[in-house]
Amino acid sequence: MSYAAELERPATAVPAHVPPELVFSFNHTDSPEARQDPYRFAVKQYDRPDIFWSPDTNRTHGGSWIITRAEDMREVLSDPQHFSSKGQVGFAALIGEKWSMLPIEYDPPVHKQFRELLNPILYPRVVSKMTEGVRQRANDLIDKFADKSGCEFMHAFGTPFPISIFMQLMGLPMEQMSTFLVWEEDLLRGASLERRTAAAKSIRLYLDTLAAERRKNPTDDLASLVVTSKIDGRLWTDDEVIGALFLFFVGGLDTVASSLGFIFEHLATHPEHQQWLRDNLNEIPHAVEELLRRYSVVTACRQVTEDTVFRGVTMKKGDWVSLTQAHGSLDPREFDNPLEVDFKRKGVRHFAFSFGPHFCIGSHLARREIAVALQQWLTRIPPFRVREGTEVVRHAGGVFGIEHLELAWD
Amino acid sequence: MTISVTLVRQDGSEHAIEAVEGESVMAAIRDAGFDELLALCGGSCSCATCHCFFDDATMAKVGPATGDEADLLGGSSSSGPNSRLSCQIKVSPELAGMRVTIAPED
Repeated sequence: MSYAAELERPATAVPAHVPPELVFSFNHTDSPEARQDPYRFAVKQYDRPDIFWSPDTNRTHGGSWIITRAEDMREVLSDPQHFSSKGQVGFAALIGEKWSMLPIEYDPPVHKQFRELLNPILYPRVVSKMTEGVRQRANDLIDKFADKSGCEFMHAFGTPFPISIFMQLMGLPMEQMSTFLVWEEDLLRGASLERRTAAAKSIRLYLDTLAAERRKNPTDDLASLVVTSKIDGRLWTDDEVIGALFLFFVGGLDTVASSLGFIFEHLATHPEHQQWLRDNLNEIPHAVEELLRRYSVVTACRQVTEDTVFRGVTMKKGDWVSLTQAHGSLDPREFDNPLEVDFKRKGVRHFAFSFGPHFCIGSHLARREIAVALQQWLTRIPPFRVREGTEVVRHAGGVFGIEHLELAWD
Repeated sequence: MTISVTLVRQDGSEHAIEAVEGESVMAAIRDAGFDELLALCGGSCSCATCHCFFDDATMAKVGPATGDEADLLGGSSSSGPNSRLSCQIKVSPELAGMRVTIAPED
């Protein structure tokens, strides 16, 4: 998920320990081809060595190893001793600070302690209780365009829907929605480094104020849990609090919005799949798994902790390793016809929620959000398509996503 | 050292597999080639996709799920008194002969 200051950096020299035959460009941030279709761009990398060095990936850190095969990705993601998560996202660095996003940028054993405290608030039992609220938010948004002949999906639904769930989780008033929308957009896709930095500062300030408020008047929301729970008998430090709140802000918004964007584009361009789901609404949960496999959005990073030889490749302490989830989810060694969406596919062992100790803490909620979105759309909106004469705008980068998707229906 | 386990798949078919002492039951099932047990998170007790039913005698030895595991199982429509996440059960000699049924996908 390394967003930070990527765009401003030119590619740097290849380190001496990287053999020339393993050097290939994998510019998933801003190459036109990656923007056009990040998934077809990703699968082209299978023609290369399974592990190669890309000077123009993770440029903030001077290039990165690219792991392209599912089996190798599982190995890296379940070995935090050799592949550390520290500093992998880098939002604090953007505003010149040193806190880590929590728990995603922590390693065991501390990671496990925090994770165990946070797990219960996002586990299925809680998600079940939240479902009625999630459905209500979806319907509130659909109400605004149900009687029209179309909408721009991301603006009307894809982006605001997960933000409204985050606000529900944090106990925030819905009137602040538009402020959050601007901050999120600027943070992740601001046109200049200044804009992204300014957004990170604003969010930090807001979350600081929220934490102070909840310390005084704790309720039953997630922010209150973070400021009142204890680790090793002490309250969390300010850095730990901001690290966790920042993660919940970033982690739950862009990833779900991006997944929804690709899924709705898919259904708009595959009327047979859309109709099958309309006829088989109870198959939606399984279909969501297959759609998440086909459209896994995140690229994660790890940093090598000591000189090591991994699958015959010499890696030096400090090297960065980049793991594009789509590579694992679309690996032809794991899946037949990986680019085909097949709702009857068995054993959908995808990487959309990563793997190992950092497996997505919000996976149960994310799945529920996506399933509810599909159920409500398919029962309330007639068959939809991409509006004639309009272009779908996609982007690659740390989280693959959709910027513009005009849907139309009769 | 290995023990013998009877695995019942989602389609009801029975298979004899060998499980290595010390590894998890989840790993034993996947290593035996049964990919329908997804185990998406790889054994971190986070995803609930390695849900299995264990026979009564085995349940008496391993006990019911508690804590995070119980929370995760609470989200499954098929979970019952014999439900455990197979990544949380370690293979040991006293479990020899156990019967494990892969739960249906939610």
